[in-house]
Amino acid sequence: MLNRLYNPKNNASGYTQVIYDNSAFKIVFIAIVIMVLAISFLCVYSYSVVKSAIIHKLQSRDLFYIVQSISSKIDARIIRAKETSLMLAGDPFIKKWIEDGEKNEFLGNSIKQKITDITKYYDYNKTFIVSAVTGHYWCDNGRLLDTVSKADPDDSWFFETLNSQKRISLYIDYNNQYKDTFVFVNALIGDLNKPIGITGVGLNLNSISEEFKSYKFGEKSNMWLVDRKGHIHISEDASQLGKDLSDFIPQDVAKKVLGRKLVKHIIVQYTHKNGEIYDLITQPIGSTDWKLIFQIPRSETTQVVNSIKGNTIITGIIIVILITFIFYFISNKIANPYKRAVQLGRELEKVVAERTQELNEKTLELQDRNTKIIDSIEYSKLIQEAILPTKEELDSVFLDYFVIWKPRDIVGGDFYWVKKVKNSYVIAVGDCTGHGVPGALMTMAANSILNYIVDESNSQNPALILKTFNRIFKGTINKKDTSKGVDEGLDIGICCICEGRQLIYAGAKTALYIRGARGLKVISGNNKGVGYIHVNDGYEFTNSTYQINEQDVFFMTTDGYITQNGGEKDFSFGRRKFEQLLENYDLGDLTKEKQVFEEELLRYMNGEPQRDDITVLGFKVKG
Amino acid sequence: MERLVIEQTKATPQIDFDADLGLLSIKGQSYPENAFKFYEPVLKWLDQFFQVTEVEKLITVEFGMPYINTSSSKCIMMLLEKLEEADKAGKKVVVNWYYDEENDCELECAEEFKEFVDLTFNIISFKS
Repeated sequence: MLNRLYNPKNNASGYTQVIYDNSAFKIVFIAIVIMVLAISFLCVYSYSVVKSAIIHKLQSRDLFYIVQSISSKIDARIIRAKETSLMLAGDPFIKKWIEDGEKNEFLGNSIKQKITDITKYYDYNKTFIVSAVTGHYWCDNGRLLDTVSKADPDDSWFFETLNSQKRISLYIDYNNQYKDTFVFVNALIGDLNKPIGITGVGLNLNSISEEFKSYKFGEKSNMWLVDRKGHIHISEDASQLGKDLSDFIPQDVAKKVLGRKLVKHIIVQYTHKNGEIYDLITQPIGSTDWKLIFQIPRSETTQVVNSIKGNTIITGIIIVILITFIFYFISNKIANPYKRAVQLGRELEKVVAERTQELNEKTLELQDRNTKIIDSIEYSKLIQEAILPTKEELDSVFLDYFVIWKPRDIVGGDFYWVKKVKNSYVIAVGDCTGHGVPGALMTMAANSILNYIVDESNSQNPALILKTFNRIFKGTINKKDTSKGVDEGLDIGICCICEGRQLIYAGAKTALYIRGARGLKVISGNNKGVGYIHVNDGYEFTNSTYQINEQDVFFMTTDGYITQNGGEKDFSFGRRKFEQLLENYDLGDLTKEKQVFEEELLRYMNGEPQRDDITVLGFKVKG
Repeated sequence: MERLVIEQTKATPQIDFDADLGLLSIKGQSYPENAFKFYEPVLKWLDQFFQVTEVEKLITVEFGMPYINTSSSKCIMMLLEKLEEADKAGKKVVVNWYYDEENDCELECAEEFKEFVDLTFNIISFKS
């Protein structure tokens, strides 16, 4: 799956070059994408886990602890106040003093001093004793503040409390003028059914609201102390005092929070009308029927997560970058062998292209040289053909004839030759050693020698011609030194056709075939060739004489036809078969016979290459 | 002495000269371009062989060559001359030429060789 990018400059071999391999890049890219996704998922997941854990913690613990802390503080304060009030209420001296109508001055002074001290030293805003007997309202500086009467609406609290039959009760008084809230702890003095007075202490809740401030979580968190009806009595934001809870939280939530008489805290989550989520916890103050409410927008609690968010993102990015580098580095190591293989492939291609180029050049060179050589040989063919007898010469010698002359390799070692000498004709068919160019060179020499030696003196003595030929040839070509390996010669048959229709034949390893009326006659000739080293210089060849008849056809062949391989067993054609051909195809027309010879041989060859130069001469003598 | 074995090719015969058995065999057609080059190691081996072999050991030479070109036949003649020499020197040499009865060229060839040397030369035909 190599993506090949096309190189504008193709090289000679035709292959386009691989610019770069981008499957390695693809792998790296996919890996990075996977990694980024994995890390992003991890970050998001861990962020959301942390966030929900924080929220959970907030809801289940933080809110609770906050509220618990405050409420227990308030509780403590109120309990202390109650204790003090109860103590005052249970003080027998105060009881006595009130019963007596405050007549006892000594007692009165010490009591006034007591309540002053209580205020001063015990962190109360007010300490009071109100007598039901006299209606006197004694406050903590020892002064008589007021005399309560049923007519005064401000004093209604007194009479209500008196009749409440509760030893101790709380009363919240919101002072509009001072924007201040007081909690009065009223304790009944004397018999519950018929109390003689009320005593107690008063707390300024502002100090508590100061405490509230210290619990402020964020900008928009709120802490309220509300009564049963939902009026806000304490808030760290003074402007909220006196208002209703439902002014700040949804109606249904307020209802839920205030509705029941709760013993323990409840946690509520609601969505404000502006879309924000708020978490709210409410806790009853144990010693009262008030409730402490703490409310915080979700965004403030999760703010802590924001820092995590920021950090997580940065960490994630850093990790991604780091891992990208690591991975790139590793994948290089992995892709390296792959890349190397690709590069190797490229280099190999280059080498192959170069080699192919070289080969092509060499081939062209060789082809060129071969052409030159062939051309040269083709030309030499013309020269060889030039030494062969022309049609006219053959026409002048024979009544009828055919010649098959087929060199194996353009030129060859076979030749045929005719010469008229006075009233005789000398005909030769020769087979020089070798074929191709070396053979052709030999034929040139043989031709020259024949031309030279055949004259009147020997034109009727073929044996003599052969003897002379042998002598001259050996002198020319073969030196005595056999180690050089030059031992060339030729097989040749010479016919002399003389006056009186006489034919004299001598052959050097060549036969003369005569097909007459009475069948085939073969004159074998001598079994020595001409020119070879092992043939003596003075070797005497033999003449055979034959009287020519009308119908006689003469044949001479070199061994090329007879030794041509083919047939079923790849043997040579054979002398026997050749003689059979001669006997059986007496067609009267030599041209037709030529065809027969050619076809028979071709059929026998059956696709096999020509083994040797082939020459077959068939002729009829003129009358 | 090491056995000489040359595998047969299209244009050259198989040479199998077994010194231990005293059996020298040449089987196949012979028409290489350069016959001297091919037969040189063969003739060399023969020279060496005749040097190391004891007298009285029978040496049988088997031929089966359907076609021999001119240059090859020169080499074969050289080979036969060497055999003739050895025979004259006292070693017992027998030549057996096997030819396919349908191959008269080979018969002729064998007969020519027989005439050429003075050896115990048997020409045996077989039917294939």
